[in-house]
Amino acid sequence: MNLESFVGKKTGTYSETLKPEDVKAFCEAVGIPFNQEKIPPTYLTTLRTGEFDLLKEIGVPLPQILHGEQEYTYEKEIRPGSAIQFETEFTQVTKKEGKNGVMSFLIFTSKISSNGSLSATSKTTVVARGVG
Amino acid sequence: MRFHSRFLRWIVFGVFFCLPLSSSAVSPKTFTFRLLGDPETLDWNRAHTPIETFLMMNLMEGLVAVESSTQPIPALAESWKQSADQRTYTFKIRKGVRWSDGVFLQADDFAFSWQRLLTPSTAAAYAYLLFDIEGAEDFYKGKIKDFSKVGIKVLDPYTLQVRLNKPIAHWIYIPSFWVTFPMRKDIVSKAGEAWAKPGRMQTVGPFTLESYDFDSKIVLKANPHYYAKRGNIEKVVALIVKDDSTALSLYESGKFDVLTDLSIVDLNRLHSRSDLKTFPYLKTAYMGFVTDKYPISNVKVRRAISMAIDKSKIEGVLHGKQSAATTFVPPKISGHSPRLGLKYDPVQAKAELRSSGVDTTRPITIDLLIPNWDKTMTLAQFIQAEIKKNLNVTLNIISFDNKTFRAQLDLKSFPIFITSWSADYPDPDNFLSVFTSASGNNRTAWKSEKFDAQVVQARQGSSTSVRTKTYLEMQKQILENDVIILPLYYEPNLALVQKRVRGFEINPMNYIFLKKVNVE
Repeated sequence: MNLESFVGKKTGTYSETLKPEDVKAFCEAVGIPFNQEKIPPTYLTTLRTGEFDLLKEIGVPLPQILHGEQEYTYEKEIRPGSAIQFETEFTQVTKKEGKNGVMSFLIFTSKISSNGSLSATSKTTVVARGVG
Repeated sequence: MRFHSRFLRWIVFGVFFCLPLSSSAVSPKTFTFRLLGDPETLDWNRAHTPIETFLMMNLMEGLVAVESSTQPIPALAESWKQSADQRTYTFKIRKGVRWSDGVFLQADDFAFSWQRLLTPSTAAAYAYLLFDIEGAEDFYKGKIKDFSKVGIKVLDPYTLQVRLNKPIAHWIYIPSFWVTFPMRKDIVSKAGEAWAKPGRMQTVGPFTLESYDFDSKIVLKANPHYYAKRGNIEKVVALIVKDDSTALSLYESGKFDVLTDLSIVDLNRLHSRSDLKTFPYLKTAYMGFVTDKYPISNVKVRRAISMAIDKSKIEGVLHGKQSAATTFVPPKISGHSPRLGLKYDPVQAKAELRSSGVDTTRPITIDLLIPNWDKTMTLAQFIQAEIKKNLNVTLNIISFDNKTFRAQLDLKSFPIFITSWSADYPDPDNFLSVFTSASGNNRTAWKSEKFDAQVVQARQGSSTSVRTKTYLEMQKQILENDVIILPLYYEPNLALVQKRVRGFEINPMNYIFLKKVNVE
């Protein structure tokens, strides 16, 4: 599979509201207090629609992937209840040959904005086994 | 058996004593306010006046909403995705939303409404709003008979997909317009034109229509199935009061909770009151020049007039917290600049007039067309005095009732006119497309192929900075080079709001959302 040819592929823009009840449930699940002024830094992990849509388009079978690294850069705080927009881009791929075959490391970058300006950037590394 | 009958007696006793007590002790929370006149229609595909807009925004909702800010937020669509080529929008309809009769909202309700909006026999003034959708204009013009060829698809009961002809930067605002609100095919098919009457109309918004007495009042009541949070208002009474002083008396005696559309006479008296509230409004009042009418056909005359009016004095004349306008695009949206436009300079204004070639040794009189409202008349008299003082030119004020004024504007019969433009959607495209060659709102007789091309180019652009640069260039052309209009002032919306009312606001497009309001 020529994964390199898909680098630069974007999903288009998703728009939705970060429902306070969902943020509250997330806080309960990870054992942190709910703050109505800002979402927990790792809450953006829930916005992985773009990444999965791109994996499907690229043709990477979902049972063969593992979630690798996750990185967030916040430009400003995001309040629960905010209307947000985000777009995900397949930004990089690297390959490694191992004893069990090829492993590909795919990086997806999502730009999250609210009120018309960039709020955060999320970078996800996905490990795809036997794909490359 | 004995136990059962005694138990039943206690229930009857409880119901008998509790019901009257609870209904008499708590009266329904009612919000009362003024409507300037009767709505022309309650059919939201056809509605087009501010009176109707107020009702629609509280009876119904769209896929998206523009409420307090100018950003679109999810409403009946829980989320949406715009494709990478920016031409396809996929809306996920919120599940569990019910119409006021309990029926679940589905994607078909939008498809039916949009098909009806695009059907010529509906005679909807805003049908063209959907023309950026693939095949929509051809369907409207009868070139396509089969609606399945139009880029509006119901993928499943909760997914609506829309395909555009080309990327349009501001398109996401279109499904926030009342004309695109969903509609029930079963109700319209059964009741025909009468579907929008009380008792027949069903709604998905915070309120539903209880009664309508022509030329008297419209009553809305809380929609028992409304899906989102709503304040404590259970009933909305909109009284139709045409006279300003009657309306103010009703407010002062506590009969109105809110009073909008205040007259300048009242504003002058009320400006220091603590119950006078100010709300940002995307509106620009301007003077238009009909560029093929002598002597306004001379660009130097247009420039002279534009530089001879001290706009900073308008607030002192109209008392409505006006500020001097620079660009046609008002503050708070991209494309506005406080630096563009011709500045007040009476010396330069005189020089422009002298060098125009117009004979200044003879008296110069130019007609100025206005609607016969007190506010516009006061403004016109101020401008008349400024032009006389600084240029020794006489403006002859010609005023008509609003309907005749609009007809005269369309005829372009007078060389100068005063009117205003307020945003339908918070995007500079909505302001600058007014002056394209094909626009029915361009009353200046000025046409520019370059300007038309720039409007199209900016509309399709995705980068805000590139779009803004284009909008500023276009305004330099129409305000400084060709001088087809003179922006006069921006003004907020002012309203009297009783102390018992909490959470009332008018959004920048002049919409009022009563679901956010609580009354004590």
